[in-house]
Parts: sequence; C-alpha cells; structure tokens
Amino acid sequence: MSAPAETPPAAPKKGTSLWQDAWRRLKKNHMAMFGLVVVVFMSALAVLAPWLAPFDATYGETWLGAQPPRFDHPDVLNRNFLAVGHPPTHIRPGYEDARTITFEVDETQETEYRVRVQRRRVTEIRRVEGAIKIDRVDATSPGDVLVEVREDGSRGGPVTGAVIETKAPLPEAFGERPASFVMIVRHAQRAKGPVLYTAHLENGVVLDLTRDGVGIDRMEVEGRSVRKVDVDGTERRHTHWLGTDLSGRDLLSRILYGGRISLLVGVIATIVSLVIGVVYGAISGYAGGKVDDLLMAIVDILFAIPYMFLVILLLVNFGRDITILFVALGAVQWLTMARIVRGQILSLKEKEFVEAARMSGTGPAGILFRHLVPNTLGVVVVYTTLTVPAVILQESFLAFIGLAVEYDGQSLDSWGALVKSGMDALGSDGERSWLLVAPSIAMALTLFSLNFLGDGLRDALDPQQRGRT
Amino acid sequence: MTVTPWGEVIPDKPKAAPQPPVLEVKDLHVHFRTDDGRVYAVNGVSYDVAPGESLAVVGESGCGKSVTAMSILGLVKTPPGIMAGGQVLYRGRDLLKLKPRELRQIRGGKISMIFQDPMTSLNPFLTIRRQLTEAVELHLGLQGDAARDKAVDALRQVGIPAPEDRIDSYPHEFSGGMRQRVMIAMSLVTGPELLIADEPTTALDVTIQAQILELIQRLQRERKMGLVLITHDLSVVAGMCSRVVVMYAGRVVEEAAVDDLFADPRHPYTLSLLESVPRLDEPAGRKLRPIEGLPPKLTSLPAGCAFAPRCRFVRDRCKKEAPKLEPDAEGRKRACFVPIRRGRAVDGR
Amino acid sequence: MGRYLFRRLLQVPIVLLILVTISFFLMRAAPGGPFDMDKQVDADIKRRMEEKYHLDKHPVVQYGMFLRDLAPIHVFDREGNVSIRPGFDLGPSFKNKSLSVNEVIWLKAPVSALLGIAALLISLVLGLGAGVVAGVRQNSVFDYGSMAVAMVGLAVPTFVVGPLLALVFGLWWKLLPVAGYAADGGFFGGLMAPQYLILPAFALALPFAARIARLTRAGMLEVINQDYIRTAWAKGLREHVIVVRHALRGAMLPVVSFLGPAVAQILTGSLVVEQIFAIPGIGREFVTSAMNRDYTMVMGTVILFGVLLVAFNLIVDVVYGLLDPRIRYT
Repeated sequence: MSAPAETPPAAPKKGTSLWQDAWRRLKKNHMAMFGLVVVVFMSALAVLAPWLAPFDATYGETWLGAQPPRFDHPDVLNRNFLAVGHPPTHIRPGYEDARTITFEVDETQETEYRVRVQRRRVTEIRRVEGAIKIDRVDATSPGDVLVEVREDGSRGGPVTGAVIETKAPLPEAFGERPASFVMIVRHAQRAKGPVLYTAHLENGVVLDLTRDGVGIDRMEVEGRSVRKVDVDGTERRHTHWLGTDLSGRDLLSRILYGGRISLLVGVIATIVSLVIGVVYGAISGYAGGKVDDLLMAIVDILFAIPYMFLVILLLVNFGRDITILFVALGAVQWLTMARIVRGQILSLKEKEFVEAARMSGTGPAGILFRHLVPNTLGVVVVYTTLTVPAVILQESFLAFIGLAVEYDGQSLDSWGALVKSGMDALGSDGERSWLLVAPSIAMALTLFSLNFLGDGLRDALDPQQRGRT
Repeated sequence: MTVTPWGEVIPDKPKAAPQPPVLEVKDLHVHFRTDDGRVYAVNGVSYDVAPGESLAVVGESGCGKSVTAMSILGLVKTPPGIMAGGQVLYRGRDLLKLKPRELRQIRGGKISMIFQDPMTSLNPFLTIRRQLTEAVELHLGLQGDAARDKAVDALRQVGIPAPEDRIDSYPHEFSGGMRQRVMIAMSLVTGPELLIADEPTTALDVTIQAQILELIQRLQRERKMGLVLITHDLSVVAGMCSRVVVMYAGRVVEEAAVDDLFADPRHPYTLSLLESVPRLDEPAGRKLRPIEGLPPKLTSLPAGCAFAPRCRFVRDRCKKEAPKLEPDAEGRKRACFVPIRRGRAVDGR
Repeated sequence: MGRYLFRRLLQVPIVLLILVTISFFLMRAAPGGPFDMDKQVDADIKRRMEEKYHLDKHPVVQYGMFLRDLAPIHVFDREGNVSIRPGFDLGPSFKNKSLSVNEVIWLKAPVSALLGIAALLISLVLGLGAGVVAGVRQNSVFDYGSMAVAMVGLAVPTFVVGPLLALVFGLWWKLLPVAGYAADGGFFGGLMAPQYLILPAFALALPFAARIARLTRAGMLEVINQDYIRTAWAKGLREHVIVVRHALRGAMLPVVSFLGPAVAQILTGSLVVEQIFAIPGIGREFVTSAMNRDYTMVMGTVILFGVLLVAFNLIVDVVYGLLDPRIRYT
C-alpha cells in the first residue's frame, strides 16, 4: 500500500502504518511476546492434539490407576483373545503386521474362602479347597485383595486392608449391607516366575500358540498380567510423562485434548460475541440519537444482570451441548464489544473520509461496514484477545461446577473439568497432586499468556500512547 | 534607575555593594534517560537572583528553562532524570546535596513555585482550604482556625472575592484565572524569599494574563521577594523583570539587563527572537522574521554552537567549538564568537 | 446526583424483572420437572405433588402466582379477604420439604455473606497496599515482584487457586481444614471459627486483590505524574502525605468503579469456592437446587444475587460521586 516515492522528503524516518508500528511496539514488550509465543504454541498443541497425544484421552487401562508423572510401564494388550485360526482381537496398530507376539504372563493364584455372617458377625470361615475351617483371613499385604461375592455369584469391588476373624464383626470396609453370607476370594502371591506364551501369525491370523513351548488352542490374556509384548524381539514400554488419572488415562493426552476443547470454546464463543457486538455497536454508534440511546440503555440493563446464573440455568435445563454453550457464552460477552465499537464509530463517523464516501454515493450500510467498521479493527483485535481468555475461564468455571460441555451426548473434558477431577482425586494427603497441578498449570499459563498478549496489543495499538517518549 | 519605554521605574541592579544572591545556579547539567537515548536537557546553565530582584528566563519550549527551574526545588524525577552536575545554591547551601528533610523546609517555605497550567496544578479532589492550609501548617506551624485565617488572608491578597466563602470550594468551581490566583496565594502564603513562576500565564486568556502578571509583580514588590519568571513571551519580560537570561538548547546564550537586551541584543538567537515578535517601540509595518529551522534534537546536540544550523551569522568556528558565556568588549555577557552590534556582525565579514 | 440516582433506581426493577422472568421460564421451559428424578415416585403421588406446588398449571399462571407472592406486602389472602401479611414470599422449597425458601436463605446467606465480606476485605487490603507501594516505587523490586504475582493471580481463576491452596495448606502441610464450616453455622459462628474461612476467603480474594493491585498501581502512576502532585511536592510535603492525601483518592477511582463488577464476580466465585471447600452457603445452594430442578429455591437465590448485585452497583456509583467532587450526575 505505502508508496515510498510519494512520501515527502521531510517526513521523519520511514513511513509506518498503524500495524507496522504496533508490531514494532509489541516486539519491545517482552511479556507480550512471551504471551504470543505461548499462545501460538498452545494453539498448535490444541490443533495437533490428535497427532501429538501419545494415548487415547478418553480410554485408560483401569488397572494402572493413578500413577505419578514419568510413570513407565511395559506396553500391554489390554485384553486379548487368541485362538488358533482366528485373528487376534485388540491388537494395537503397532502390532498389526507382527509375525510373532510373545507374552510373558505373571499368573496369579486365587484361593476361595467362604465366610458365614449373621447380623454382621462372622460365624465361620472355611477355605473352599478341601473345606478346611480356619480362624482368620488377612488381606493386608500388597497384592492381596478380598473380593465380596454375593449369593447370586456376582462380584463386588475389591476390599483392601481388611482382616476377617471368626466371632468378630464384619469390617467396615464391607459396607452396611446386612449380608448373611459372603464369599471371599483371596488373590494370593504370584505363581513362581512368568509363563511364556508365543503366538505366530500370518496375514493377521494366529497360526499356532504355545505355552512354555507346549502347543495350546486358545488363550485369553488380561492386560494386567501381560508383562511384555515383543515384535522382532524389542520390548515396548510406555511412559506417561504427566502420569495417569484414577482410571489410568494418560494425563498429558487428556490435557492436550482438554486444551483443544477449551480453546475451541474460547475462539468460537468469542467469534459469536464479536459478530453480535460489532454489528450492534456499529449500528448503535452510526445511528446515534434516540436509537443509540435505546440500544445502549438495553446494553446497560443487560450489563446489570448476573448472566452467569442464567447460563447455568440454561445448561442445566437444556443440556450441555457444545453449541448451546457457544451461543450462551458468546451472547454474554458481546456487551462490552458493542460498547467499545459504538464509541469508536461515534468518533469515527465525524471524520472527513466518511463525508468523502458519502459524497461518492456510498449507502449507509456501505459506509458503516466498509469504511467505519474496518477502522475499529485495532480495538476489536485488542478486545478479542482479551475475550478469549474470559470465555475459556467461564467455560472452565462451568465445567468445574459439573456442567462440562457435551457433544453428541459425550462429555468433553476441558481444562476446567480436568482441574475439577484432579481436585476430587487428590487423596487425603494430597498424594495425587499431579492430577490437579498439571491441568492447572496448562490453563493458568494459557490464560496468563492471552492476557499478556491482550495487554501488550492494547499498549501497542492504543492511539493515546502513540508518540509517547 | 532606569525608566522603561512604558514609563515604569526599575531599580538598577545594585553594583556598589552587591548583595549576596538568594539563589545561584552554577553550571547545572540535567539529563533524561529515554527510550530514544539520553536527552541532554540542561547543559551547564548558570544564573543568579539577588534578593528582591526579578529575573526572566526566556527561551523556546524545550530549551531547558523549566527543567532548570524544577531542578532548583529538586522536582525532577530521578530516574528518568539524572542530575549530571552543577550546584544550586540557596544562600550558599547546595540544594542538590541537602537531605530530603532539609530540602522540604526550603521547598514551599523559602522558595515557592507556581506552574503553567492552573487547571491541572490544583488537586481536584481537595478543597482550596485543605490545599492552602497544608502549606501553612507545614511551614508556619499554624493549626486550625489560625491556619484558615492565614489562608483566607492569602486568598484576599490575590484578589479572590469573598475568600471566606470560596475557601471551601473545590478547584473546578473556579475559572482559570481564579485558579491561578489560588495557585499564587498557595505559593505565597508561607512568605517565601523567592518565587519561581514557570510560565504562569501561558494557559490563560490574554485578558487574564495581564491581571495575573500585574498581581505577581505587585506582590513581588510588596514583599521584596526574588522572582524567577520563566516565559517564552518576550513581551512579558519587558514589563516585569530587570534582568533577562536567554536560553537555547539547554544553555544560556545571553544574559543582560532588560533594556540592554531589547535595545541591542548581542546573541544571534536573541536577535532572531526579538525580530520574530512585534514590538511597540518601533514603527509599524516591519516584517516579522520567523526563525528558520527547528531547535536541535536534545538527544544529539551538535559539537559546536547549538544554534549554528539556524544562525545567519554562522562562521566555520561555530560548527566545531561551542562558545562559552563570556562578557564581550562592553561587558555584555553572551555565548557567541561573532561580535554583533545593532543587528549586524561587526567582525568584518 | 439526585436525578441520576433516581434514573439508576428506576433501572433496578427492570433489571430484576428481566432476571426473574428469564430464570423462571428457563426453569419451566425444559422438559421434565422436579419430581421426575425420583424413580420411586409413582404417577399418582407425582400428580398430587405437582398439584400442591401448582406445577400442573400453565407456566404463565405459575409466573403470575409467583410474582404475586413476591410482592412486598400482601393485602388480600387467597380468598380475596383483606389480611395484611408481609410479602417477599418465595414459597416452599421443593426438595427441602420442611423449610421455606426464605428460611433456607436466612440460614445460608449469612455464611456466604461472611465469606464474601472476608474476601472483599482481603482483596482490598492486599490490592490497595501492593498497588500503592508498587505505583509509588515504580520499577523497584517490589513493583516487579508484586506485579508478577498480581499477573499470576489475575490469570489463575478461583477454581484453580482454591484446590491448590487446599492442596498445599490443607493436605500437605495440614495447617488448615480443607472443608467444612463452623459447627454452629451462621454469621457469628463462622466468625468464631475462622480457620474454616481462611482458605476459601483467600481463594476468592486473590484474583480481585490482583486486579485491584494492578488498577491501583496504574491509577497511582497516572496520578503521580499529574501536575497537582508536582504542586504538592513543591509545597514541601512529605512523600507519605502526598501519597495518602493527594494521590490516593484519584488513584482509587478506577478501583471503586471496578468494585461493582467485582462483587458480581465474587458472587459467582462463591459458587465454586463453596463447592471446593464444602461451605454451606447460598452459592452451593444455588448450584444444587439448579441441578435438582428445585424451582423455587433457584428463583430465591437468583433474586437474592440480583438484588445484591444491583444494590452494590448503586452503592459504588454513590461512593464514586462522593470521592470525586467533579462528578455532577445529571
């Protein structure tokens, strides 16, 4: 656009446009540049999450449970049914072309006890194998679990750390149910040494199966007991750099996907607010007079409403679909944008170039949207960068109080939801702190950077500050 | 005794028994650190004021006259300001070296200052009374009603009508001229020995300007107070002051008794300055001559005389060497290599 | 000022009416009702319940009845006889069957009020203190340090600060309880057992302290470069007199105008803080009753929040006018 030949010789230095000038100022602002870098980085992570995330964000190996950052474990097949003549089920993509799969399995022993209970008092304990009467069952050493089995044969959850004695009341851990009969299975020590299974495959079909070198027909391997999977002899291991959550889901992957959702909500709701705000503000400012008074009175009144409560009610009553959230948050945020744009238009419309446009026969809509609105770009950009973190904050707030967004009935865990579940999973001594700290840092860093960038842009674009020494 | 063209009688600067000056500024250097580099605002300014004397400091905006005045009371913010050298002597004590507590006693007590813009120089959130009495309480030790009476008195002296009622007003309830009167009352209520007036009328209407100047002049004479009047307006100088210091780019370029200066300026800058404004003591119809060019950038002053690029008498030497403020053959102090008499160079070139 | 206040007062009922209307119909418009959730309730009981709470009538009729009960004074009883009773009747709570909404509010609002007041005080003390010192000592270590902290405080939302505070001070160091409230409840009960309030109040206050600190510092910087501060220096006043008497008032103006929206945010912030720290306040009550479709309770809390908000904005306007003598509302 700028034609250097036309600049008068007396002009000081180079002619700089508003944007070049702003960029020059912005570059001087270290915090804003830091913010810009982080925002770009985070956006890239969010966009590329499906490719970057090392694990599935919604599915975890439940047996892993919550593990601290940098937790490292062998790669496992979660549950695999192998039978000669069938393609193996649940093979990870990395093993699809494998010729040989080798498993080392630690098998566990189960010992069954029957416990007779009357009015919560243990009257008799019997080891099923051989029906030996015994006095006491411990599940206090690691690896031992008591499993409650109801009379219909269905199993309850595992109970750890309980000791059951005859003539003693049933431990608290078994709950208040007035069970009269409880079967208890004890997971005893692991069998000596791992058992080696090998499967030979061709074209994805199992050719033969061996157990410690002896051929077998079929086997079912549960993830927990699979120690090692080999393709071409190399061991596969997995590292969860940020640890895993209670259901064994990789936290890093969850944070990457969570950022995707948070930023998506932030950007789209901001665009919604941008469109409403700019159009409303521009019309109000351009029309002026009574129309302006009325439109701004409406904005004033809406401003005074505690809208967050309405958004909550809306989400509670009409589902938490992501589109509803976009509209709800966007519809809330446009008020400030409308005010800012109106103020700009009010002062701009008195300028000469508007008169010039009018003289050349441009209609009101043309003047407004082709001449005036583009000139408000500076403030709009600034305010937009400040709206994105505000929206992210609000979405996270909603997710935190239990209104996480959903899409297609599936709950989308944004950063707010991660913080919430992290808080709930802390444990009584805060021993699982990474679950709270990691998503908190991701969110805080992003919000922090967006705010810095917005502030920096405001300083860079604010005409009042221009020309200041 | 001298009589000005307006018929005013100005006492000569006493020469026989020179009174020690109230204030002496000696070789003052003040710089500012900015994003665009170091700004050399004041570069070796010296002047003095005798008790009861009125000195004018004249120059274009940005020539360092206000910074010099602010430095006297230690009002230059450091940083970004840097007091790079020199002395400010009040009755022989160097104000630049005083402890903050000692300086505070002189500020507003012995030396007062009034500023350019009365619209912004008064605190909009406090009543006039609060703003006047705080100085009285501080420097005169009066409290309560006594302080109030003193303040009312001061307001009356500067011509505020019904001062007993107006004293509880806020600044925005006064007009610009009235606010400057309040400012004057505020700076004089403690009975200072020296008043520094930094462009006291620039922000006011022309009709009000005269009233305010008259007021300052009257009060100065009544109280036999020293006055440093900082202005860019030569017409103000002629009526009010006995001696003039002309500043350019952070230096004093000429210092003279007011009549000498007007009758026969000895520095090209002073000459140009006089030629650029109409004068009453000359026939109408003379063409005004604006000064060509722009003042130099204070971030990068030329090696030689700062005025050389705009000077019509410029010589080769001027571009290499900066002239010092020295008396010429007739004892007139100016900083120029070229002897100038009645608007002409008399060095034969 | 009078006319301006009058105009603002005129806005109050409009704002409240809009809020009440939107909330009312938002609750009613969704499919299902408060008695759908319990599976055990059979159709007959459900019908009788709905009849009892007038849920069988058209929403507009319900709305009318609701507004009638809400009127400040009731002159007629249901049969049309004159009997003057105090109004503001929000009806019975659907879920909490033994208590009326008014009673629940009287029970829980003081708890929230105590928390909110504590948070507001903390944020004012911290924010103003840090902001003034940072502004006066611009570019000092304190300035950079406190503003960095403020920037973090600003970016980190309450629902992150809260759990983190609970983690560090409650779970790791075991200095303070992470949940609960004074056993005997209420305002004074809470005051007597402040250990329950420290963490939530700080969690709630930090973002506002940060904001106030930044506003104060910016205001301070702007004010101390004003001509009238130079005048004050020229008078020979001490620095602290200049700061306190001359600069603070002007620097506080942006803080004061921020307090209006701040109270709104403290109210919303209390929703999460009361959840995090299990404080039996009105914010938590709102969330649970919204989830439970407890219509009357939701309306009661929304109205309470709305009134508080509007009232506080009015107070802020008045205080602003008192602080700045130049303001003449017209």
